Amino acid sequence: MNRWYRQVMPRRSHVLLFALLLILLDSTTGAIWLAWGKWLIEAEATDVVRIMLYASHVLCGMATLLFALSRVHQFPLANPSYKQWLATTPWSSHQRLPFGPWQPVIQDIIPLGVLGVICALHGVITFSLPPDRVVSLSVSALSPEWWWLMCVSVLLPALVFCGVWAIAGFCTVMPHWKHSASVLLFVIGVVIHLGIRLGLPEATAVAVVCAVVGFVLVYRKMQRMMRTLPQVMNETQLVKIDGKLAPAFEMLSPRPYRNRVIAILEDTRPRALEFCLLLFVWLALPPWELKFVVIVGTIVCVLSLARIAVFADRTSSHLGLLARWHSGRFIVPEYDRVWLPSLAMNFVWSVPVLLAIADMLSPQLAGPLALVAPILVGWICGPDSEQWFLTAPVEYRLGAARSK
Amino acid sequence: MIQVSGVYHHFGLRPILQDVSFSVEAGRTLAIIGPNGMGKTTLLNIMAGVSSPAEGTILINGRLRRSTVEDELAIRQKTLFLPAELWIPSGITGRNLVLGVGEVWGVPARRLFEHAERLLKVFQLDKIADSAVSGYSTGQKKKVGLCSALISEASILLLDEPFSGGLDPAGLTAIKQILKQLTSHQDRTVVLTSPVPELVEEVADDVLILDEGRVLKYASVADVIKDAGATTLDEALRKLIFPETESQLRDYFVQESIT
Repeated sequence: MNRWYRQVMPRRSHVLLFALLLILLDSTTGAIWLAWGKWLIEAEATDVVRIMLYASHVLCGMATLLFALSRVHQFPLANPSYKQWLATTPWSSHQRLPFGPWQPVIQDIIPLGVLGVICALHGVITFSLPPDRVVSLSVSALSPEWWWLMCVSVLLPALVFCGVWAIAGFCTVMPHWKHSASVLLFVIGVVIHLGIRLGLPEATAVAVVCAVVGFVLVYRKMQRMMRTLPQVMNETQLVKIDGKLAPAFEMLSPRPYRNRVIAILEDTRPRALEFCLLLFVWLALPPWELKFVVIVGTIVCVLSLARIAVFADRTSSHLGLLARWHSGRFIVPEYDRVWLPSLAMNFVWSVPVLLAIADMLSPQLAGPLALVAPILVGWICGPDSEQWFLTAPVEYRLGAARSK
Repeated sequence: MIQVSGVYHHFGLRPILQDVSFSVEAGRTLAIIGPNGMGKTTLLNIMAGVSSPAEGTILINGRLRRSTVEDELAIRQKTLFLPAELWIPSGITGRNLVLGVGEVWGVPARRLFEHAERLLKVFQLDKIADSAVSGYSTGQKKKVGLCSALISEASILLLDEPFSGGLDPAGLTAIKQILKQLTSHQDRTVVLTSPVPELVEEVADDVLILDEGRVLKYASVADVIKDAGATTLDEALRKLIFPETESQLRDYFVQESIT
C-alpha cells in the first residue's frame, strides 16, 4: 500500500520545485503588499498584486497539467519503451502496473486537494483586493459569491486534472479507436452550431454533458485496451528496411506500387462519407454568399487536376494526344476510365451552384455542398487503383519520379 | 516458360516492334541482340510488364501478362526486371537496396541476409555496402543493381544490357558465371539484351536477332553461327545484319591508301 501510494504521488523533486516557486511568488507578493500596499490602494494600482496572485494560479494550473500528463504517461501504449519493457516481464492485465496507475485514483484527492486549497486561498485574497472590494476576509466570507468562488477554486485543479487526463488519454488511444477523431470534431462542430443558433448557455450545457460523456468513454476505452495489452505486446513486428527502393523494383514487385496519396484515398474510402459529413458541418459554420460559392469552383477544379496528377504519377499511355488524333482512337477505355471521377467532380460542383444562382438553394447550404459533394465523388468513385495499375495498358516510368 | 505472340508496339505513330513471336523454355538463356534502336529494350520492357503491347500477348508460366490482378501478381513473384540504367533514390545504401529487393520478393530473412553478404562480396561491394549508392561509381551502381536482381531468387530474370554500364572484368566474369550457374543448375530462365555479341556468346543458349523491330533470326547460338557460315557470333551478326559493313570498311581503307 505504501509503495503504491508513493507511486501515485507526484515525484518529490517536482513537489519541492513547485513549493519553491510558489513560496518565491507568494513571498514576493507579500513583500510588495507589505511595503507598498497602502500606496497601491491609494494609487488604485492593486492590479500588480492581482497579477502576482494570478501567476500563482497559473503555477497551480501548470502543476496540475503536468501531474495529469505524467499519469497518462504511465499508460503503456503512450510510452513505447515502457510497453517494450513490459513485454519482457511476466506482467498480465489483471495485475497492477509496476510503476503506478495510468488512471485517476482516489489517492489523487490529496495532491489535488492541496492544490485546490492553494487556489482557494489565492482566490479569496484576489476577491478581497481593492478597488473592487475593500472588505475584510471575515466580511466577504458572508457573501454567497465568496462561497461560490471557494467551491470553484477548490474543485478547479481536480477539473483541470480530469480534463487534461481525458484529452491526453484520447490522443493516446485515438489511433486505435475507429471514428473517434471524427466523432470528436463532429461534436465540437455541432456544439459551435448550437452556440451560434441557440445561444451560449445551451451550447455550454451540451458541451459540459459531452465532456463528461467523453471522459467516461476515454476511461472505458483505455480500460479495455489495458485488458488486451498482453496480446498487443506479443504481436511480432516484421523488420522494416528503411529507405525507398529503386522505382524499377518498387513498380514491378509482387507488392503493387501505390502512390502515397492514392493509398490514403483508397484506404479511407469506407470512411469517406463520415469525413465529408464532418467537413460539411465545419464548412457550414461561417456565413456563405453566392460569390464564395463560385470561388469554390476554382478549388474543385484544382482538386480534380490534382487527382489526375496523382494517378498520372509514374504512369503514362504510349498513346499521346497526337497519336490518338492521327489514329482516330480518341478514347482508350481501359486507360482513360481513371480520369472519369475527375471530370465528374467538376460536373457535381456545378449542380448546387446553379441551384443557388436560381434561388432554389440558399448559399449557406450550396457553398459547403459545392465543395463536399465533388470531394466525395473524387474520393469514392473510379477504378480500384491496384486493378488499374496492374491490368490497364499503362506504361510505367522507371526514372526519377517528380515527387522525389 | 515465356511465350511472346504477335507483339506489335509503337511510340506515338512510330512502329517499334512488328509481329514479334518466340518462346523461351525454362532453364535457357536467351540473348536479344541487334543494332541500337531496333527495339530490344522495348521488347524486354513489354515482357517485363513495364509497357503494354499495342497488340499481342505475353504468357509467362502459362499466365497472361496484364490480364488479371491475380495473374499479374503471380507473374511478378516469379519475374524480375533490371533496366539498363537503374534509377536509385539518393540516400539508400547498397546493402539496404539489396536487402529491400529481397524482402519485397519474399526471400526468407535468414537466407536473405546470408545471400546478400555473399553477393556483395563477389561483386567487391562489401566494403562500401553501408554507404549511399549515390556515392558509387557507374560500375559499382551497375553491380549493386545486379546484386539486387540476383537476390530476388525470381525464376525469370529479364536483364537489359547487364554487361554494359562500366562493369570491370571481375564484375563481368562474376555475372557471367552466376547466370550460367542459375540456368544450368537452378532451372532459371534468363532473357538479356546486348548490342555486343561477343559478351553474350559465352552465356547465351539461344539468340534472337532483332532488326527494324522484326525477328530476323531466332535459334541456338551454334545454329546462328553455322547458318551464317561464320566462326563466331560476332561474325555471324555482322554477316546477318551488317553485310555491307565489311565492304564499306574495305572501301574506306582503299580510299585511305590512295590518299
